[in-house]
Amino acid sequence: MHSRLMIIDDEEHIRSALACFLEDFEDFHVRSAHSAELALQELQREQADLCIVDIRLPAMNGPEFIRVCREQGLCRHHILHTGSTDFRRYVDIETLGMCDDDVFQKPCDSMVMLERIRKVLRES
Amino acid sequence: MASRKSLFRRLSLSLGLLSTVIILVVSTLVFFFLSWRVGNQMQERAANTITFLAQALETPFWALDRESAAAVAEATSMDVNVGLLELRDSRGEEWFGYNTGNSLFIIREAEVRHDGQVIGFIRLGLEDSVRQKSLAGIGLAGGGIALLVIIAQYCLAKRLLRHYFQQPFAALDSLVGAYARGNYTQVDPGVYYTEFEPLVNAFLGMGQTIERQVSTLAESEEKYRVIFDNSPVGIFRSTLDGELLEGNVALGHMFGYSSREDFLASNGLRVEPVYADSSAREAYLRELLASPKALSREMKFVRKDGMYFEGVLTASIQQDADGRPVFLNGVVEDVSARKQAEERLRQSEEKFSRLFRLSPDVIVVMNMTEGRIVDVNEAFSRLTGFAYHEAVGKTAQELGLYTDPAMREFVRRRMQTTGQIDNVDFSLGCKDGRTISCVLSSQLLTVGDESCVMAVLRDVTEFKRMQELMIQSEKMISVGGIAAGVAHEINNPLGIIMVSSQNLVQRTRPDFPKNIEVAENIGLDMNLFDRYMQVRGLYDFVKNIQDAAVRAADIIRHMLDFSRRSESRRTTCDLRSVIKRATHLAGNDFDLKKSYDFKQIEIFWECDDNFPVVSCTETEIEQVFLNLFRNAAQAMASAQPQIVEPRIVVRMKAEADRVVLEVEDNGPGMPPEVQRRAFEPFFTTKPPGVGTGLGLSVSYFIITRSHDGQMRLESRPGQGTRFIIELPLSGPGPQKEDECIHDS
Repeated sequence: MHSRLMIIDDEEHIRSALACFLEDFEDFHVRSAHSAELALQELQREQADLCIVDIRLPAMNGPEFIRVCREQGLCRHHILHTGSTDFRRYVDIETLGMCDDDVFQKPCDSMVMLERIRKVLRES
Repeated sequence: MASRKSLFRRLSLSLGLLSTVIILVVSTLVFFFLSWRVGNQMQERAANTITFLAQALETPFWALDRESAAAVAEATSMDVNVGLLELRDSRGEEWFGYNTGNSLFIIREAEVRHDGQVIGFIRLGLEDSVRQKSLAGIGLAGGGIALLVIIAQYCLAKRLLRHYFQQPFAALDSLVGAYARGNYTQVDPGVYYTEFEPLVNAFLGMGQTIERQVSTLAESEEKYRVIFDNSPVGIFRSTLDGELLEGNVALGHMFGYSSREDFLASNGLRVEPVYADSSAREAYLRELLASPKALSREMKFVRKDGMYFEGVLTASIQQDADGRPVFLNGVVEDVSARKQAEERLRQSEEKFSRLFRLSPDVIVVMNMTEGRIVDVNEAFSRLTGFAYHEAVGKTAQELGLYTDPAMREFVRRRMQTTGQIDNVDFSLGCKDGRTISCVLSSQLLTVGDESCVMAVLRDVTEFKRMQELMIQSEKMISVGGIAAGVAHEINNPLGIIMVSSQNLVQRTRPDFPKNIEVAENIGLDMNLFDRYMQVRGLYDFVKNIQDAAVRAADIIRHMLDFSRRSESRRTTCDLRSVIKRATHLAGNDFDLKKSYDFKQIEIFWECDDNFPVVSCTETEIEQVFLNLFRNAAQAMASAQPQIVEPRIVVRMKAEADRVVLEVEDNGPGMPPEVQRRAFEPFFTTKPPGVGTGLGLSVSYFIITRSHDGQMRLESRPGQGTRFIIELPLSGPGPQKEDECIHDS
């Protein structure tokens, strides 16, 4: 059984590189979207097990996307993957139901992220 | 008062009596004249009647016709005046007799003759009653007239007297009455009789004179009253035995009374209670009695509210006509304000003299003419090293205070032209040959009668350093600001590099199942590919890409430290254990590339007893000390010639409101230009890749911004470097641990 992952990032190369990295592992089915709105459409078609979400996105931002997902029951687990360093000033990750381990600051070690994804999915 | 007799009445009465007497005398005379005349008339009548009878009776007597004679006699006796009528013949025979019996006034007898022959006798008597009646009538009429005249005269006199005397006198009386009431501006009372004119004029003149004198007196009194009332000093008059007779408003105010009346009514008019020392008055009076003049004495007085004040009493004795001292007249002046002013002046003088002596700025006073030093303060001696006695009397040039001769010329010219210098940079020469950066301000000053220059020199060494640090700090803050902005933009590409290079690593791995599968599908020998990668060093390139990305990410993270204040994760820290941990971390940091071995370095601890706990963010302070230890170790390791016994001294000193932490090495030290830039971001003396140039900047930032402390360095090339960190003390209470570790 494949785990369904969704990558939302407006940076195309991050999106594709991360997708390539994760697709190499047989147990993941990876989809990606460059905006939160598009991702929501895609998720409404088919839900995901975990979303890797950038914070700064073109229209709806990452935290907002996570909230909507939770409300609509589109996805249960999320990982924040952000290039900004001061996100804690405006994002309270605890209210999003996340912890520090769910936050990855770019550039990060993809292997560490992989481990976290597996751990989260395993625990659920 | 006994009842006075009325002149007017008297006068009226006197005039009445006088006229009565005159009228009575005149009436009496008239009466007597008239009665005389009546007597005469009756005698004439008697004579005429008897004569008539003698003639008329001649014939009857001759003819002895008794009847005719009786008829004649009868007819005559019909007259009311006739009281007695007797007719007799020559023989004496009575022919006729008539007698009323009433008293008779005149009796006449006549002979009736015929041819010379007496033929009969006639005796006639006239009655007195008729005469008396007429006289009574005259008397009554005269008396009545006289009475009327007297009454009329009395009334007239009274009226006239009233008109001519009583009214003028009343007018004069009202004039005098007005004067008596103090109204001297009277007009002519309207008495137009010559006799009164001098009197009226005299009275009016008197009124004017009095008015003039009264107004002069009032003016004079007013003048002195104004002086008395408005005098700022208290004026009084009292008896020698202490009864207050008079006092002015100022006196009242001085003693705390709202009005003069209030003052005069108080104390039962006694003066003794106002003297703070009750014997002072007696002593003063004794002195005054012995002195011919007024005396001034300073005394302490008591106000109404019981407060004391200093006053100067000046008084003199006034004697009575017999030369006995009776009154004390004088003034009291409140000098407490003056005394306070004097005291303030004295304090001010003391303050300024203390200010001069203890001023942290150097103050030098020189005379204008020769430039010789007149006075210097303690800061001067402290800064230049010249003691007071070494400096005074010398010129600034002799002492070598001017390091730049042009400056001396500039100062002299400026003082002569404008008389003032404001904040001019000045390099001050010291006794030991050092020069100190100062700012000079000077002004002209008159000391005694000598024109002097007062020069104030402020040591700005510290200020300049602070200024440099401020600039540094500003630079770092701006770096932080930029960093926060660009971090996101750089992190994204770094993320791409990172993931992509990791993908490269992963997809070239010969043991990765997916790679093997894809290689098989295209007929690639994975082992051969792996060798190719190794031989061509492609793995290394990929590794380098990854390292570079990590390094770049590190730099970004450090840069961001500038923009971040520590998020109040402050705890009370035992700084010694924090620093100790930093030494351990530095010890584990042995790195071939960084080419030093921390364990070779000896660390000395010099720690004050009772070093307090300090509120700080432990990890940050640890980072700062780790940085300092690494820098020290790297500097000592790279020193040429090599340092034989590298050592680091850690000093921990507790002061009143702060702690001072020092890290001192015996390394090569820093040249001045490096010292200046040591805290600058991205400034490094290490080879590329070894240092980012951010360690000290971040440390500086942590100390100054996150911990409100200070950080500075002292270094001399060849003698090592000392970093000094000062942290403010917020949480009091000495540290409980026993002792500091020395020579660990």
